[in-house]
Amino acid sequence: MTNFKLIPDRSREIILGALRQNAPEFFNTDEYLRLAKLDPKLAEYPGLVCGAFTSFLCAKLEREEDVRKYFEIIEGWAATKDSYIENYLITEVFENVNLPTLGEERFKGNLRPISLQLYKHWMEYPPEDRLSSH
Amino acid sequence: MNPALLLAFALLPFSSGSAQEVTQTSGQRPPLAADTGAAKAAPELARLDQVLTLAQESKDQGRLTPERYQEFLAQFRVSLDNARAAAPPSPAAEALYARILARLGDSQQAMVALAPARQRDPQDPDLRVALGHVRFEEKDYPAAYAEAEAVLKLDPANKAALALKYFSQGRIAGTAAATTRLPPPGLEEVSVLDDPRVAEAGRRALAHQTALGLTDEAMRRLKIKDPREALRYLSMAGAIDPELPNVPMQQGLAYADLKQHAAAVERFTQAESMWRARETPRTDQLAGLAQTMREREAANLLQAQASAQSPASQPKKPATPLPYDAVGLVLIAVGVGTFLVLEKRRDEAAIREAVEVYGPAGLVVAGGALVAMTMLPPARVAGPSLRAATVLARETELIQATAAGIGAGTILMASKQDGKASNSADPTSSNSPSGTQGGTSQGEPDRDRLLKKAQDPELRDAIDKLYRKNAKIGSGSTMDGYRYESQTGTRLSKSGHGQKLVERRDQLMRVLHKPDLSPGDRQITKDILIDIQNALSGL
Repeated sequence: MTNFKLIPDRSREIILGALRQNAPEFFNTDEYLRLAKLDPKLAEYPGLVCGAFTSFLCAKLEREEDVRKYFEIIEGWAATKDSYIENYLITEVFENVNLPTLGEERFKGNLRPISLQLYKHWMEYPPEDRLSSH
Repeated sequence: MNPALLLAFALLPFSSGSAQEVTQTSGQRPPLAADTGAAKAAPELARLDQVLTLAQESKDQGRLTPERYQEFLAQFRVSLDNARAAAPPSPAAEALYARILARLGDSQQAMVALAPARQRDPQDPDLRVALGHVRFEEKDYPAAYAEAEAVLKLDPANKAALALKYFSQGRIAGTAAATTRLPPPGLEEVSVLDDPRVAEAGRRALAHQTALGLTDEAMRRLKIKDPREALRYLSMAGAIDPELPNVPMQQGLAYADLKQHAAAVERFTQAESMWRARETPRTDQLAGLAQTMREREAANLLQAQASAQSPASQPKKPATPLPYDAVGLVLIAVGVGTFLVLEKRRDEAAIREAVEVYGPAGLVVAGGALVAMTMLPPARVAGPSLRAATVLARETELIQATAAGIGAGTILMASKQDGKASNSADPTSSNSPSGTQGGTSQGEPDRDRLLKKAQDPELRDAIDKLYRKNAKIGSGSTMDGYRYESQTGTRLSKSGHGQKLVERRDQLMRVLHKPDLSPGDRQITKDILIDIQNALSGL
């Protein structure tokens, strides 16, 4: 056991912290409140919050509203290079994009460089072609 | 094992009082001191010797039932053989092995084990002491005493021989030496503990320490995915210290690795109750483990029940070459009958009539003919069209035409049994009883099908997040994605989809407990939870 180095999981504080600081209105949306109503503890799960945030963001995109600051938040998450947070970005944000009228290209077009690179690597290449290092 | 503890154990019989008390205590045997050549040459065998001592004491004191003792012996013998095979060959190791065999009651086998080494060096002290132990176990105490004395003549400080001598003396009735209270020469430095309660506490402490060491070994085996060997160590640990909660807890982990969930739940529950009885219970951890295993067991039972109720969700079975299904038999009969008719009439109108009269069966027959076309050498030339099929049907021999009908029936049955016959090579095929196997028989994606049925908004949200549009792997569900990752070793995200499944599972558990959830939504939620749990369990 002494050979293992534990990497602390800071995803909860980073993900929720960024939202509280830069998008406090998200915490009054139906998407977030549905989670909290089901169980307040669920509203602290980074993955579930990311999923709710994605639904919120896609709804804003569909309504053609200004979404730049939300994509800055996503860029900030990607820039941490934290493996937990990157995993949440892939599994709960990128994979949950649902834009029936605009299409996923609209979402991809709004991504900043670091998050765009993450998106392209995990969402666009077939698994067998993906390089193991990212 | 701490050598000091071994030495303490070796000296405990002397510290427990007079030799008279020793003779009255049943089951006591000469111990093995840590600094003997045998203990140094084969430490694993020495440890097993100690384990056996403690187990036999537990049995003698009633702390171990005869059944548990027999169970312990079965595991012990396997470990003994392994340890002997691993020990470098030496007189000391052979001596120790023989001693243990003698203590197990296998005196004859012990003598056989000693014979080759004794032939080479009959005066080797370890071998003579071992022979003495064999005689002791055979209750030939004078012979045991004689062997010990022979060794002590050449090496008066040999602790093993000393122990054997005094134990043998104690057993020989009517000797003056049996009543002496003088400490044996060479051991004055050890303090004599007269109070038997102290000695008993020392033995218990040593038993506990030894059992902990065995559970450490078991944990190492669990980490390298060898649960059976872990169970052997745990059986020994439980025999030595039946009150150690680590034992049932680790047994639960081992049974879980072996997919014996019921046994795992039983062990976790036992550990939980043992911990509760202690002053510092770890009930939350073990309660969590037990709950996890109960949930897993319940999920497996639900799946088994759902599978039994829903024929469409039977697990994949290999396609059978022979027709057992009644529908298939009927279609085959129709196929044969139709072609028998055609054989007589031999014209295209008959084919069309067959389709009109027999309806779907006729289409099946025609389809069978198309299949036959792709399989039979002449058919490949004819081309895939119904007209060509009718020409073929007209011109082929009766047996080939009949084969077409049989082929159609067999294909229908195979696809009925298989579910996704065409996806048999897909590693992500899931076995969820909700039929989430890449779509219904109509080809509708699971995501769309479930979203059509689900009413509850939180459930719909979970479905939306768990099932992707435009599925690329399996049904497009996170569960199939996780299965893909597990089976191929290729991650579909930075760290895989396990964490997502765990969080969504928690979300769905809350949904399941909503009081106003409709029966339909409840069933969908259960089915998805079962699929998630199966995926996380490697199924």
